[in-house]
Amino acid sequence: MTISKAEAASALTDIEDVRRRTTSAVEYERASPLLIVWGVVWLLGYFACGALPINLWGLAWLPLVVLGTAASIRVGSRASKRESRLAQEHSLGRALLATICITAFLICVGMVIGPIQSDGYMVLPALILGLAYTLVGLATLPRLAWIGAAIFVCTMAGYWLARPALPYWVAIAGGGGLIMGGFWLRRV
Amino acid sequence: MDVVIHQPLRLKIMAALYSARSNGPLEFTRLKALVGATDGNLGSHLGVLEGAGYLRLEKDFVNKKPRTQATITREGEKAFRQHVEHLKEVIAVAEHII
Repeated sequence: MTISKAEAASALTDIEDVRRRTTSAVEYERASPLLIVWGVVWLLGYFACGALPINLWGLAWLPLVVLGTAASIRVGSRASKRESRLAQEHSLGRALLATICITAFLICVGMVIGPIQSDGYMVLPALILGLAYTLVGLATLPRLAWIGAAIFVCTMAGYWLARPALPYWVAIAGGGGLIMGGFWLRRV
Repeated sequence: MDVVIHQPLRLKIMAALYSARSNGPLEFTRLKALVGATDGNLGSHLGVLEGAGYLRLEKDFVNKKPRTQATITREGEKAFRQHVEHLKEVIAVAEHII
């Protein structure tokens, strides 16, 4: 059995199309549980900010971040069980580096702009998160761009329209956005 | 040319399983969406590919619902790579002749 050049080209196009869709689906599947984990952390953390005085915010966030990190490592190790140990260490290293970069960025923003009001502390991480997801989505996975843009817009809407209930608004916009986004990523 | 793989839907199935091989098996429903097949169509072509030794099917129950997962075998990976090479050769030869 022989095939023509046109048939071969058509078959290669089909292969490339399926390869692209499968790669995206696999990446979305890996990202999905991480978004859900951090959505829950976000939701609980900002609800705690709404319920507690500002001097206790750190105490509320610390155990949540530790739990979120532990859950992420567990999810990541499950997802990469077929990857080499070296690849797993690289993934963990990148995650830690990203956390350090975000923390350093927030500290620097505080130093450059001056003391940030409590509303700013609530809104800024959500805006950074929204921007980061939008940029990653534009570069690789389009659905992340939609999730990031939705979080960004909802957060700013809360900042302008719902200032008295801001922590709860940010909890639902950011945390809810991540959780819903995580479930959306599971759909092919 | 590998006539088992060359059938359009089987080629897409192999492409999907080959692309997902580092992440483990693909579930039937996900595979169906990725290659744009119907239940019956996908089932019969998976059977052909399994018969050729190109993929492995695992059936189990999750929350009392049946689940079928497909994984490409080493033989399937090799056959798919060879088939892609063959397709590229066909194009290269045709362009050389022209």
